[in-house]
Amino acid sequence: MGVHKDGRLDLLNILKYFMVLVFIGYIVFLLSRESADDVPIKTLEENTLAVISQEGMDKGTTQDLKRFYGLNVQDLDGAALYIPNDIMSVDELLIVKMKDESQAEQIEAAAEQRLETQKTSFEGYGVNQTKLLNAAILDTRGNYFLFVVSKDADKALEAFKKSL
Amino acid sequence: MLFSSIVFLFTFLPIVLILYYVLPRQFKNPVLLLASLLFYAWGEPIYLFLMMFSILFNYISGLDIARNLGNKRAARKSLIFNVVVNLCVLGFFKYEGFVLNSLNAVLPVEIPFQEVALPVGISFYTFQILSYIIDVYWGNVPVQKNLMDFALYVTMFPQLIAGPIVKYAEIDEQLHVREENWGRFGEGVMYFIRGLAKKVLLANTVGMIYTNVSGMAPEDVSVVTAWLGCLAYTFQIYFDFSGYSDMAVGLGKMFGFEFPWNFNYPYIAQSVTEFWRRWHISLSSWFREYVYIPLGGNRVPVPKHIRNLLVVWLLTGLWHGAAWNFVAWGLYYGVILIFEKYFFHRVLDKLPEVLRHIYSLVLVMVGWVLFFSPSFAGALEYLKLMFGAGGHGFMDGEALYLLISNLGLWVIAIVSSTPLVYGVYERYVGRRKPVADVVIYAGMFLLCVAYLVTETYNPFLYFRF
Repeated sequence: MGVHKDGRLDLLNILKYFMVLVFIGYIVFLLSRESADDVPIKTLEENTLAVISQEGMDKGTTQDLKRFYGLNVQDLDGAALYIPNDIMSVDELLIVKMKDESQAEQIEAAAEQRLETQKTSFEGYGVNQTKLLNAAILDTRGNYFLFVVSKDADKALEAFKKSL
Repeated sequence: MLFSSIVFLFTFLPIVLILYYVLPRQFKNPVLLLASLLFYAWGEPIYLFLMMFSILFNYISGLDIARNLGNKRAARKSLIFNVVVNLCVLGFFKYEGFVLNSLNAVLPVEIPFQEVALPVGISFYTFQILSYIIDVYWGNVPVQKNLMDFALYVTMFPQLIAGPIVKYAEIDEQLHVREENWGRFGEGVMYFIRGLAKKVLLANTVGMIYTNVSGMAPEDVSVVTAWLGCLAYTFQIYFDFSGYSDMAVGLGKMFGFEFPWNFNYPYIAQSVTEFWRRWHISLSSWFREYVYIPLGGNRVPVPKHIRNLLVVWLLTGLWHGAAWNFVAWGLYYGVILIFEKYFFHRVLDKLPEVLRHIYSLVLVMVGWVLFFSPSFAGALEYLKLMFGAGGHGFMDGEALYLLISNLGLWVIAIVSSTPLVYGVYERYVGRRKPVADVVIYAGMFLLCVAYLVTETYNPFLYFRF
């Protein structure tokens, strides 16, 4: 194959095989891009927000990060926080880019503590809220951490994983 | 970009339509091509390159196969090369994670891998491309020598993301000669608005019931609640996907194209075989034409016919998703269709119509459990709830609440999934009362817009394929 009937490797076949090389090069490029260890927090934030309902939460500030999680933003490489916007809402999203993986334990503990506090607050009377809190997702991947309480938590995790 | 988004409805579509109709004939295809590339790049700029590489590779391959048609062996080699490359590209983007995860689950060593995001619409446009390549090889269609027309076939935005899968033979002539007129345009607008209403008013609304049930802890789900959740998804996926297809067909008509129908009231089917003649028609017809018939179809001994059906349904399951629950979903239908063909059909024919409907719907709903569950184990868990193994009783307050508080919605969903609503409309309004017609469609459109301005991002379910 590749050799036309007159016995020469002609332009059409060269182009065809060249395009296969282009596919391979493109996939290598995508893989190197995907495995890059510096996905900006903004990209993660946008990709995750694109798949979850933002009803019930507002963007949190660095003070909120300190207040609810006890974390200082300057200790991290970046963070995106969305907190409940209503007293009866529990929707929440936290994405953290750590400076190094050694911070993972501290951040996971902070999110678990926050989750426990919320569960205690709604236990006994907030049936739907408790369901959402029980289905909360905490996930650490390399230098990145995700905590999400939402009816779309699974989709958020999927988007988070795919963004890394 | 979503059809059901404000930016598409009030910016993208009007601009493309104006340019398309204002510019002379020779610019119409270029306008559509550019619009389609922009449409795709809107959400997936990085994967625009993949689609363009795919267009170039397949355009060249088509030329290569066509010039070798006199030499069957060379043409066949070229075809196989092309199909292998296309399936490898699709396989890499869609199945890499599935295959390696499955291997890692059984191997003693962990194979490290990096998963990439699935390019939107890749399953749809790859199948369209394969239809072209195979039809060129079979001599069913002439090779497309105009790169721009070929690129337009692959990228045409109305059906690029979620079908219908338009076979090249169905559109070849329309790429060169098509007639735009007000009648067809108006018909297209009506199709589009009907599809938009299905998606925005019905699918998204009934989908909230499914979301609610799927978010419940399993120990709180009664049998009726589980069935109601599944019923809600049954309606959601139908209105979502058929809504998208209606919009695609409608947009096609606005630009002078006729795309094939993709749905024909599947839930009124009286057997699962009939269901698949009415559901995602373009995919079933693709598999029939390019896999089932080449394998011998039903004109072979029974064991081979059973093999053919299982192969087609395994592939149908895999086409939908790279996960074991989709494999199970495909094989589930393969087995049912084999049983219907060889055992059930005599019994089914004797049953009253209502029982045949119930039989079909129950099997289809069980199938959707395999489809919507995140994993095979998850599907089995949900099925347990539906069949009373959940330990939360047959019916509880939650089930009653879901039933009563959404009674109107259930009724609307049921009648809208039958030909009843359209039949009544055709009989009493239709073309006889144009003013009422305009009021109905304008009303539906405004209602959809009202929903859309307050709604968050809500993509079509079939985008994930």
